Amino acid sequence: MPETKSGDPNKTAGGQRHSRLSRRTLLKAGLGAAIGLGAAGGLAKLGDGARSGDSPITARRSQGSWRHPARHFEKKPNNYVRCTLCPKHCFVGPGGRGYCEVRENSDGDYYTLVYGRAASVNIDPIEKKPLFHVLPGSPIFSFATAGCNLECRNCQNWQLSQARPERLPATDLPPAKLVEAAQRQGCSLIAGTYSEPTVFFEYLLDVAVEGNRRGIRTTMISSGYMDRQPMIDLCRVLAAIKIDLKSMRDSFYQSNCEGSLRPVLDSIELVKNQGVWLEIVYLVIPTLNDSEQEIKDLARWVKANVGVDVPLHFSRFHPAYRLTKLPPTPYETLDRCHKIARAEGLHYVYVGNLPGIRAQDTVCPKCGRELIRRQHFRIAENHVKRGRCEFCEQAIPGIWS
Amino acid sequence: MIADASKTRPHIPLRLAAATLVLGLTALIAQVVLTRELLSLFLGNELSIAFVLAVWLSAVAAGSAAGAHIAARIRQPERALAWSQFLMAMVLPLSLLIARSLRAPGLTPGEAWGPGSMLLASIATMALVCVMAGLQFVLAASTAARSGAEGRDETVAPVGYVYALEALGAVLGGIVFHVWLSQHVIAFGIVAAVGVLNVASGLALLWSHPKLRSRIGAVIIALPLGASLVILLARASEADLSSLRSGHRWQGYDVISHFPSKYGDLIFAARGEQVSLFQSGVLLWTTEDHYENEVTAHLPLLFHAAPERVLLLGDYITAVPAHIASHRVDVKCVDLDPKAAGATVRTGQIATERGLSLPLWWLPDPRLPVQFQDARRFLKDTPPASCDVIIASIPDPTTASLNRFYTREFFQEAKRALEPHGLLAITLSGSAHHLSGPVLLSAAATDATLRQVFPAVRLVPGDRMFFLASEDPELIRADADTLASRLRDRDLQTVFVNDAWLRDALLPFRADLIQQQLAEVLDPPINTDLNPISYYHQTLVWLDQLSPQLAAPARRLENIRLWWAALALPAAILVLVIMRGRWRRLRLAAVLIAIATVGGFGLAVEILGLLVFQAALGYLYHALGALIAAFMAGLAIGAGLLSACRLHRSGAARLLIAGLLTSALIAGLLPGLLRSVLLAPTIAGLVIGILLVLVGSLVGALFPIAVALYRREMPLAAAGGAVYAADLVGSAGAAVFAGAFAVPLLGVAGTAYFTALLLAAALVLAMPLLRQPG
Repeated sequence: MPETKSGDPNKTAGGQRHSRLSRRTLLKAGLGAAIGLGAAGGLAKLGDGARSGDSPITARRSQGSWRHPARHFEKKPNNYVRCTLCPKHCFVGPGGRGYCEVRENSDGDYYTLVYGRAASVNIDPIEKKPLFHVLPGSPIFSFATAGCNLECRNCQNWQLSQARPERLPATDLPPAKLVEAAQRQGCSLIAGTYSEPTVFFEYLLDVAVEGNRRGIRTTMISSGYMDRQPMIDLCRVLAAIKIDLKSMRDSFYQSNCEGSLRPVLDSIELVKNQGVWLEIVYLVIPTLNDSEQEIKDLARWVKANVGVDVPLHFSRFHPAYRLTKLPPTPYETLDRCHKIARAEGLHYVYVGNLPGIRAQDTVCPKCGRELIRRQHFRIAENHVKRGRCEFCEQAIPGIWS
Repeated sequence: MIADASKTRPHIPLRLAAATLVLGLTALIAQVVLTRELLSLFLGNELSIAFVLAVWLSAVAAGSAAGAHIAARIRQPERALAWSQFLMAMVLPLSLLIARSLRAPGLTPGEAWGPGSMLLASIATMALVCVMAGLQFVLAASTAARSGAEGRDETVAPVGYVYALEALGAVLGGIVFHVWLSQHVIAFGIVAAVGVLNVASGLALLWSHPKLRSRIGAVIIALPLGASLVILLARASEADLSSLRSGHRWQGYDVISHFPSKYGDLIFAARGEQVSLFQSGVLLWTTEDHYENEVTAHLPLLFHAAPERVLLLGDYITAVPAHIASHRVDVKCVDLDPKAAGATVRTGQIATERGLSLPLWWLPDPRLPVQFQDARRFLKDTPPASCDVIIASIPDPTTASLNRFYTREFFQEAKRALEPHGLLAITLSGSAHHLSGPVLLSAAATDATLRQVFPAVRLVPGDRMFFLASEDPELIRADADTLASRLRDRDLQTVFVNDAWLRDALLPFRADLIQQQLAEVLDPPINTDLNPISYYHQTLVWLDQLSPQLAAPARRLENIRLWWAALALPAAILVLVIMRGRWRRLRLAAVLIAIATVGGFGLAVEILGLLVFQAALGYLYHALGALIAAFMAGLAIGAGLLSACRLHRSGAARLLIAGLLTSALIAGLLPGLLRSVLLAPTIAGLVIGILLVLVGSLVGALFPIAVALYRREMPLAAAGGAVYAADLVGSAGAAVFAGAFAVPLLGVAGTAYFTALLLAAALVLAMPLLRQPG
């Protein structure tokens, strides 16, 4: 068994030998170098100019602890706590952890173990999230920690979401440094993403506060499985939220995700009501959530509860994690979903990666002209000017500047 | 003289000999058929293969042990054996149906099965057949003992011959299955045919029964049962498709066709206009893998400034060859299973006949040059410097066989076939933004192994990571702009691979982070043919996903060292000291431990022999079948020869000690021998074949010897059952330990030495057998 270079003296659980600090070292090193060198320019420049081997982030290892006081919990007798961050409402005894494995009860106080502990940092095109109505073509600085409050059988990020934090190599990247790194990489947007931002709520909140202070918008890519008050807290500081609505059936949430549907629907309504830009993604999994009736129910619910202007994305399932025996979603199914949602009156319905069908383009609901033409992460044309259709002046909802 | 061949004559009636052959044949074919069914549920990686094999062997051992326990109470073993054959004829199709209708509680349809569900499913499917097979062995031994050598205290011939005949039956079953059944007959047809054979055999046994009532009863049962099985045989395809369509596994899919193939059955399933091909339950492709096909073809080719000759390993029946051809290059495809192409065409016709609106554009282009053979074998015969780009589109190294495409030796073969400025592309499941745990280890091992062969290696992160390797560092250094410009210059009509995608895929920020994560793994292991570490990493990935509780102990096995086995020696001596004065009990245990260890040794040599053969010559289906048959034939020869001898107790003890010593010596010499084989691949088949016959003979010969030592304590048939059970338990242990862990972690040599040390410990423990009983 190979060992890590850093020889992390800290205890790691589960026999994991890869030192978290060694990972931190490299990310910190890259960050420091980026800051030190004053690496400027946008993502394109970064993509073109950076040489292989030049670490984008940086240098020394932080010896600080990642433990940070958690918000949203209630103290209970005998040093127990009740977590009120997500609908699971874990009742946690001293020394215990919540379902997400990243929040710990220490003598009756509750702590997050992933504050500033970035297990993944990256730069993605915003179309990858997808947030189609937020600054099209922009690079978005993306980060994640370990942990999740659900266990979706098809999770593509299972290495992150299903791991205890101490088992993952991570970077010490507190909010200020993270925002600084995003700025240095030419990103005007940040996303808490990949795993589940709910479980790194405090971290994301402070990143957003810091970002707002420096003029960088923060977004969240989430399952929406969160309690009302923490979601309100986030809505106050976030610019946009994308929620994965996984099914319109509670039974699906129970059997495939170990969660429930109602809290997710509540979150979606809440985000809309709070005035934060909202987009919804529905991953279409063959045989599990792709019935015509379910798609109709989805479209009708969206129309009735958050309105026809909220973009709805249908994504293609690919075998991942435990759901490896199902083939990818047929294009015919995605096309059918698109047609159903459009027929129900939704204005902005998208299907990613569907060749031959312009279902990833934004079309003006008034004049029917093509406004944004996308070619798999590339913005071929953009006719949205100052938030309006260039051709008929129809207001197009979203964040355009 | 420790054994006297002249005084023992077998007295096994022909009908019993035939029935015993049928037992062996049935057990072997049932094992293969049911294992293939289960692996198509479990998506067979090396651990699940070993796991199913271990469940099979353990359940047969349980049946045999139970038989040993009740053997003395069975008054008419021949009659019982006959009826058990009727029962077996019914149980076989039933077990197949059970396998098809299995549904793991709590699992979402389409979800992979974890170890717990696998255990339950394996037991549910195989328990009846296995327990009966174990029991039947004891019944056959008991019948033989009564009909032949009853009363002759020193001979174990009847049981020994039953063992030899059963092994011979397995050889026959193996040959019939490998040569014909696996390629032409669907599972239901196979079990029906085997069932008919069992009915005939049972009838033949009962026909000689003195009571007319028994004979009439046999006919009354046999005729309708045989007729039902013949009908099932005639309508096997319909029964097969019907059971697939009604099963939980294919819920929501239209199973269009099912073809037998020696490499694993092919199932075509449709949903809407999308057709997917599964082999052994593993999704090979769907007709709508447009994104994957584009990336697989274009990404590597765009790195090459002017590719002319491209070799594609795998992915023949996809759009990848067409995408490659769009670069205006000569493309040659190599794929393993010739049946898949024909089956695909036939499925297109079936779909049309059924009026399904399936697009036919996904059928393979018959003009494409394709070679159906093992890709490693093909590369060995490929002239040097004959390719500009090799794209190895091979599934992750989840098994020892797939692992051969991720080893240093494979990379060396690819390098030899490449032009000096050529490029090799291989892929591995991963992530675009984060690697950790066993996924990171697997990637690091692949990266390090490639770097041992190629001076320049580049990783392109993604859910499917691309490793690009070349002797020319400039070639793989190309940036997104260069590739985008080649994309334009070559006028490629792509949907997904465009300049924006290339910029994202090749973002230095991302690549550097992943590369640095790889660099964090100090001294990553090198994956070689004889130290196939990567399939162990893939086993850990699988456990991490499906059973994190078991992943932790499995990960601790990483620390396994050869000296662990050496601890068995002082442990054996300690046992001798503690057990002083209780020699009788120790002797009994020592015999069973010795035979279990030898059984494990036999299986380990089989695993190692097959592994090295594949490394030397490639995956040659019939040759591999022949090697397994060689081992089984050795078992029959060894058991047959020694059964012909009158074994005296003291002589038997000396023979057992000698057998253990010989086994330990062979295990110790095995690494050198197998390494030599790799140096002279032309004689690999011959050498490994002879080795397997010899080791099989040794294992087979020790069976009657052990029975001779054990039989003083119980009736002959019961002793045979107990020893048989011990043999199988040892084999089961070796299947899991050697197959899934020791081989990748210790390598071929380490596993052989480990086995030698265990044999030495068993030898020490068996030494008191040399003492005369007090």
